[in-house]
Formats: sequence, structure tokens, C-alpha cells
Amino acid sequence: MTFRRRDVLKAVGAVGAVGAGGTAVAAQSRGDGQAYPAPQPPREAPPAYEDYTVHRVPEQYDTIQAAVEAAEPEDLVLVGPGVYNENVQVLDTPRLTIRGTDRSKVILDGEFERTDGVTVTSDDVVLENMTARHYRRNGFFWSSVTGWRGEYLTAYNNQVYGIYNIDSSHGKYANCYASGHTDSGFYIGQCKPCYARIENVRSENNAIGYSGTNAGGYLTVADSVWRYNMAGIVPNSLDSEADPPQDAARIENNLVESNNNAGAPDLGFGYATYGVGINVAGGINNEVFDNTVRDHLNFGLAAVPMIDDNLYAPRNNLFRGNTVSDSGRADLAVGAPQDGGNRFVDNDAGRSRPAGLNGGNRLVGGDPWVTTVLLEQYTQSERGTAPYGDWQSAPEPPWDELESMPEAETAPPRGTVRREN
Amino acid sequence: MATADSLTDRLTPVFDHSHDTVTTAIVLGFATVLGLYASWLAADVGARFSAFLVTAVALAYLLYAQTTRRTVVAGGLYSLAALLAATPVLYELVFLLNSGRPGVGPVLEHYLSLADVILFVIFWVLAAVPALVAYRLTTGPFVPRLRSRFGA
Repeated sequence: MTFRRRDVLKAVGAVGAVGAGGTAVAAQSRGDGQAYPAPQPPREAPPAYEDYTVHRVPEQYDTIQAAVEAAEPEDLVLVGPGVYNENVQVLDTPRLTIRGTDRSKVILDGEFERTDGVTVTSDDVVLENMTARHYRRNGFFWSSVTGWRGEYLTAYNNQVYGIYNIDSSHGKYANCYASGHTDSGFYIGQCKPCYARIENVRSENNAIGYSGTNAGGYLTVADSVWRYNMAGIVPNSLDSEADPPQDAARIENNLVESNNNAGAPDLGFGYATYGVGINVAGGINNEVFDNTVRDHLNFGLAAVPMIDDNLYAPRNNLFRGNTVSDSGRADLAVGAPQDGGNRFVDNDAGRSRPAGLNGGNRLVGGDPWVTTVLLEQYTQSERGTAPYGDWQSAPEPPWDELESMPEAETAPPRGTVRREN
Repeated sequence: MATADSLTDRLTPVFDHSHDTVTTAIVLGFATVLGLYASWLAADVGARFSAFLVTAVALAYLLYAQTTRRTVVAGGLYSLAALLAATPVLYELVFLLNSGRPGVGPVLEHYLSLADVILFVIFWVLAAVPALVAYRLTTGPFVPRLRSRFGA
């Protein structure tokens, strides 16, 4: 994963050459219409499991992994306070719940050596109420599953991602916190449709707050706080993952502020989009509604082209009802080349690039200045001269502000999300 | 007794002569295009309209004041060169203006990189092209002058 990003960034550099030289590039495949709606509405909590066994750590098992291996589907692994130096793997136990009894005191610690805190490849596995830190890759990691849920999780100072899932559908992140990652705090990738929601989370001091590569269709990112990262929310299209372009996500009612953190950890992608609140990078059919976006060095809301093996120009993205203020260059921006249909409606915002995005005359669809800004930052990053911080020593989470799961000791385990809607 | 021309006397000589339609169109073309370019440059600092107005009016006046079509074109090209040269400066200005924002850190971290140098080089090389063309227009062919200077 680490190198995937860097490979992509090399390709991003070609955007400038394309814009400047008019080089012919492969255009993204485009179909007529939109395959799936963008928003995933809230779903009622799934029913509790009725017949389950509680496996207690450390009372019954020395390690979480030992409890997982002893568990059957629908069981609950209940983990007491302590520091667990392990890489937990849930590979063949579907419908399992792993829950800490105290969010801030049940700590999975990679000691800067292990790869992932918890790796899940079984369907419908729930992770709740614990912390993962100091892993060389991800704090919490679901891969290729149907049904996933992470609630009351804290991930901090892991090398790549905080809370991550790929090639998965039907899930939710809620009431989670992520900080100190060199890629994104929260990630959803390669799902179409995703049937997923991110809600009431907080992401700060990462390279990127939320990254969603080729993720869309019934995907909502809502009611969350994204701040003090290098960049805030970045849905994006890349050939390095399946089924580009990124298509149809709803980004709604978030607070996105001060994503100018030059001291955040970064492996390269973050500084390329540094100082941007919400950046639709090569995405199409996205809906960015009713967010409060403020204090960004470059742009508040932006739609820009991405290039990997192919050029992905932003198209048919709708930015509506957002309050955008105090952006260094422009509150609203569209980079050239773009593919049309990027609309800005009823936003409370100031200046824009190109002119006229917020009403008035609009002479051109996209502004090469916007693309140049990000290209220049990418080049600086690729040359190794961009500022960044150390992921191993990034600030610790604000423990007092992180709510623990109610009734963690006694609440029955539940499924991940209801599938019928 | 006045020892210098009045402001009116200094401004109005531009109307002491007139240009033909083509030259006038060239003046207006330069003023409009370079005004738009200036407004594009100044958008980051919120001066899009004023930059257009000031640039267009000033250029229209200064270019129309030239006596020949050749000097009109040369003046327009010099102005284009100046705006191209100013482009990376305006680009970097945002970092300078925002250096006090929380998290941005030392502004030099964002400035002093190869990427910034490349940006300056690209635009200054681009600026050199119209500047050289303008110089050629106003001073004549380069080669005979070089030959005479070096006695070839």
C-alpha cells in the first residue's frame, strides 16, 4: 500500500504536462447516467444475536488471538484493560464481535514492528471500543468482506492508515477517532456500490482525513469532524485499485477545518493536496452537501483531475448548500482539465477559481491554476522537500474527549448493518 | 509662471495623434487579453476585477500613446513578459500572506524547493520570449549589430 501511493503520485505529475502540452491522453471511460445513487441513508441497528458465548481476555485467554480462535460465529470476545502486543487476525470466523471494555485502556500495540492491529477477512465482523497504535500499516483493517462495522475505535500513530477497509460492502464507521497516519485516518476503497456510512467520527493530524479510492454508490460521509490534517476529505480515482473512476459518494454535514497541518505525517499523497478542505480528485457524480468548510490555505471545496494510467477528470459533481470561508486562494475551485457538469449551487462562499462558480458569469469550466497548485505541491513532495511530521511521535489523542461505548461489558453483540436497506 | 506641463497637458498628448483601425485593435486586444491575464493572476488575493480594470486601462493608455504600430506591439509584448514573470511571484504570495495560519509552519518550508525553482524558471523562460521579440522589434535585427560590435 505504501508504494502504491507513491507510484500513483509519479503519475500525478503528468497532469501538468498534459495541461501544458496538450498531450493526448486516454480519457476515462464514461457511461451515460449514474450506476448507483450517492447517499447511503442511516439504517436501524441490526438485531442482537441471541445465542452467543462471551470469551473474556485476559481472564480466560492470555491473548485476543487465542480468544478469536476459540470463538464461534456470533460470539463476543470481550477484552479487558491492558496493552496487547499482537496482530489479531479474524480469517474464518464470520459474525464475530471483538469489543474492549474501555476504549482508551484496551490498547493493541504494534511496537512499531507488527503490520496491522486487527486484520479481518471474514464477513460481518464487528470491532468496538478499543485502541490500536504503533503498527507499521493499519490500525484496524477489513479486506474483501460483506458486512463490517467499527465503532468507538481509536487508531493513532500507525504508519499508513488508521481505520481501513477495501473491496468490502455493507458497513459503517461510527464514533471513531484517527490521528497520526501517513496516508488517511479513515479509508474506504474499491467498492461500487459500498452500502456504507461514516458518521460521527473525528480525524486529525493525518496526511488526509478521509480517503476513498474508487469508492462510491450508496456511500455517505456525514456528521464528522476533519481537521488539522494536510487535507480533509479526498474521494479519488486511481488505476491502482479496481474499477475506477470513483463514482457517487455523498459528503454531508461535516465540519472540515484548518487542514493545513504541515507537521502531519505524510508519505507523499497528503502534501499533494495540502491545504484543501474537500477535494474531489478525479471523481464523478459526487454530492457535497451542507458542510462547513473553513480556514484552508489553498481551496475550500475543489474538484480536480487525477491521472494514473488514465486521466480522470472530475465530472457531474454537485456542491450544494456548503458554508465555505477563509480559504487562502479560493473557497470554490475546479481544476482543468475537467469533464463538465461540476455545479456549485446555493453555497455561502467567497471567491472562486475559475470565476463565476458561485453565481455570475463563468467563462471556463476549469482553471489550470488550481491544477498547477496541487501539481507544484506534488512535485515538492516527490522531491522530498515537502514538510511533514514523524508518525511515530505524532500527538496522542485527546483521551478525555473520546467517548467510550455505553454498556460495553453487558451489551449483547449485534450484526454489522442491516442489509435490506 | 508654470515650470512644468499641467496634469491635463501631460495626459492628453496621447490624443494628439491617432492610430489606424488595425493598430487601435491591437491596442485594445493587448489591453483586454493582458487585463484578463492580470485578473487571473490576482484572483488568489481577491483583486480579480480591480486587476483587470487597472491593467486594461493602463495598458490601453500606454500603448495608444506609442507613435507607431511597431512600438505598440513591442509595448504589448513587454507587458506580457512582465505579467509572465510575475506569475510565480503571485503564486507564492499566498504562502507569504498565510504564514500566520495555525499549522502552516515556517513559510520557507513551502517556498524553498526545487518545485518552486522550476516554476520560476518555466515562467521566466516563457517571459523571455515575448521580451526578446519586443526588443527585436524596437532595436532591429540582432545579427548585424552583433557583427558590427565585434568587428566581424
